[in-house]
Amino acid sequence: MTDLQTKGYFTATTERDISTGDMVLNIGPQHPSTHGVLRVVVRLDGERVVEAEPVLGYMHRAFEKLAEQRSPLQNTALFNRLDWISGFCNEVPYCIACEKLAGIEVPKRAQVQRVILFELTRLASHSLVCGVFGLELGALTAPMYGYRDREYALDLLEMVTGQRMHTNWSRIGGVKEDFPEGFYERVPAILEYYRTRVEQWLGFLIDNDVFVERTRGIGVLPQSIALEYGVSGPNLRASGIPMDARKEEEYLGYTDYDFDVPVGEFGDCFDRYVQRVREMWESCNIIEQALDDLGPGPINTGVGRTFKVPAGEIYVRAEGPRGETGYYLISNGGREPYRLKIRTGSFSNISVLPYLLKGIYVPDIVAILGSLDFVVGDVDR
Amino acid sequence: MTHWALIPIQSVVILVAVLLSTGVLLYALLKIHSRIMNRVGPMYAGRFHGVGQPIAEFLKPIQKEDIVPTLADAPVFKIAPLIALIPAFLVFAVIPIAPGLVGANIDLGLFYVLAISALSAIAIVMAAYASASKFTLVGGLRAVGQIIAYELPIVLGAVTIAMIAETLSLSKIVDAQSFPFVVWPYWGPHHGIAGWIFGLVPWGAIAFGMFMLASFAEVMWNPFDMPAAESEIITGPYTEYSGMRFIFFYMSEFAHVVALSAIASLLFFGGWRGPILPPVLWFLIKVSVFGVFFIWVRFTMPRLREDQLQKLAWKLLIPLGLLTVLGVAITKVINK
Repeated sequence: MTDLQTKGYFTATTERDISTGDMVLNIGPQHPSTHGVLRVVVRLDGERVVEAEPVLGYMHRAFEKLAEQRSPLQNTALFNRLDWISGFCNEVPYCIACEKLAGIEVPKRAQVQRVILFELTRLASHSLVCGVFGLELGALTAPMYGYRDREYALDLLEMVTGQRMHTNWSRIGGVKEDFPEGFYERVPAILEYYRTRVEQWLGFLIDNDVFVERTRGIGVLPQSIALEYGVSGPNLRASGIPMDARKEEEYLGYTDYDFDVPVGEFGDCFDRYVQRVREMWESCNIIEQALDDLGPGPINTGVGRTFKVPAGEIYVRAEGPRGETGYYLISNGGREPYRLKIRTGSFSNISVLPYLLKGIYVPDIVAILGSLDFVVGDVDR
Repeated sequence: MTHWALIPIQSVVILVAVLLSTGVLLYALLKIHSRIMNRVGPMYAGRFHGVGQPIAEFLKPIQKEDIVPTLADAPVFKIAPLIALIPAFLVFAVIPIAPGLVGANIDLGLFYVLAISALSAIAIVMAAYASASKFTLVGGLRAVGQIIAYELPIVLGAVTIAMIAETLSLSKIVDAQSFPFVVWPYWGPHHGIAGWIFGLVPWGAIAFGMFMLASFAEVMWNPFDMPAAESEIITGPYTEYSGMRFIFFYMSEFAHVVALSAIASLLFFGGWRGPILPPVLWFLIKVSVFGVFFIWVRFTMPRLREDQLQKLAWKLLIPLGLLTVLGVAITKVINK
């Protein structure tokens, strides 16, 4: 395009010489394969990627700064929008951070209810991702199944909170209200449904030779690289490292529940897909145990709207569906945080893209993007 | 020879047949893939279960602006959709629907069909090249590689049948299929052990498998839709097209699917032959079954990668096709 001026703008490009050097291709920010506005600049040699670089920031909404102007109640509503696929999972760690700073003991019943909603959100998120990953590989039917399956978990969330995605249900010191009538009766059937779905997802794509051909050995993420880049969540576990904040941290009483942390073997796209399907199964186990665990008691400590977070610093991490969600909260004793740093799974997970996208073919770009499972709102914040 | 006065009437009939069959295929596609996806599909256009949807799909783009990108090679860009559409129509001219019911009964029917349907590659290259966009370029290169690789298995599959039937005329190929279904290798007397061995290999069935697999690559439907892979390169060569011109590509794709379904049922499943029902009905039933098969596979398979597709074509299908042709030749010579 250097001779654009000399030959005149309106000359067709096809009339000029075509060099056979590398071609720079801008995938995104508006492109059907990127969920949202991620931009990847790839240098191509034919169909082979020579170099790839994700360009972030097209959806930067300054959440960390916005949070400094808002009270905890307003902040939970804000953090629902971080990773909009799994809104509830973002608000809980922030509440935990405030509670820990204030030394509030959350009632057991509220903790268990948080666990149930947390895992339902994870089920919804993973169902969707399993489907959308099929779409990346050209299986046009898979996302429809994903959206359908997700709706059952979202129905339950809606029943409790009145919202499907942006629940805004967690409060400092508990949750907003108790579960409604009829909730307990509905859950077992839906868990049973998800168990059958796990089998469907395993059979639907994994038994498909084309799917295996497209994902086995593609985008292999070695353990050392994954740790260097700070990859977390299902992506890290698919590489064979059993790191799960639910097992390591004391929060929401997760350590009381009996569940496995499945790990993958090779860390390729196939393993990352299977990883999510297996985690859905474990989430079902956790919800079942939590329902048994749900004794009577208060669901809130009754902290008022004017609650001030005591001065101090704290870092709280939790295991979200897309990796570790962490809040580094500095409070100077006011209602609003003095400074808040949000660590999201998606951001760290896609930082490994330049490594993964080197030397692969163009179709594998979308396979890897899909398998990493990021939400651009979660990346840019 | 057809009387000259009949030619315009025939042309109109064929045109209507093409438009009607693509419309029916589009409606079937909308409804069947919705069923596969656990949806209901179009329900409002045309009042009854969305039967008017194909017309709506066709009429809406007419109102849209016809955008030609500034940097595009305008004449080539504008003519490419027509070049895609015309061959798809021309193919229908020689497809026999029933004994004697054919637009042009030419002796080289099979040859003509294969030659004409390969022309769509040129239209895609033109579209990809003239759009002056990187995504179309990648898509165009993929399409060319794919069509070159998959034209051969289709030709070899068809040649196998032509050798068995000893004719290139589509009507005579149907007549040669005394056994109503897949053309088995040799239905005549077998001579000696070698004659039986070669005679019992289902050459026709092998050719059929090759032909069907290659057909998906030819029409660029899943699992071989890489040239227009939406999640990778937007819509490949068609990315810059809008309005009516885009719909021309769309229609040519659908006409292509109908044509290949018709050819597959003519070559391998005895065309209009069948018991009880009238020939035209048999032919339509067979074509419909193939059409549904195309839709079914399209919406259940993920997409292969371009290099995997090339590997499949050059390392498996083409050697297999050559072996089939050789095998049929040997069978023919032995059992003469």
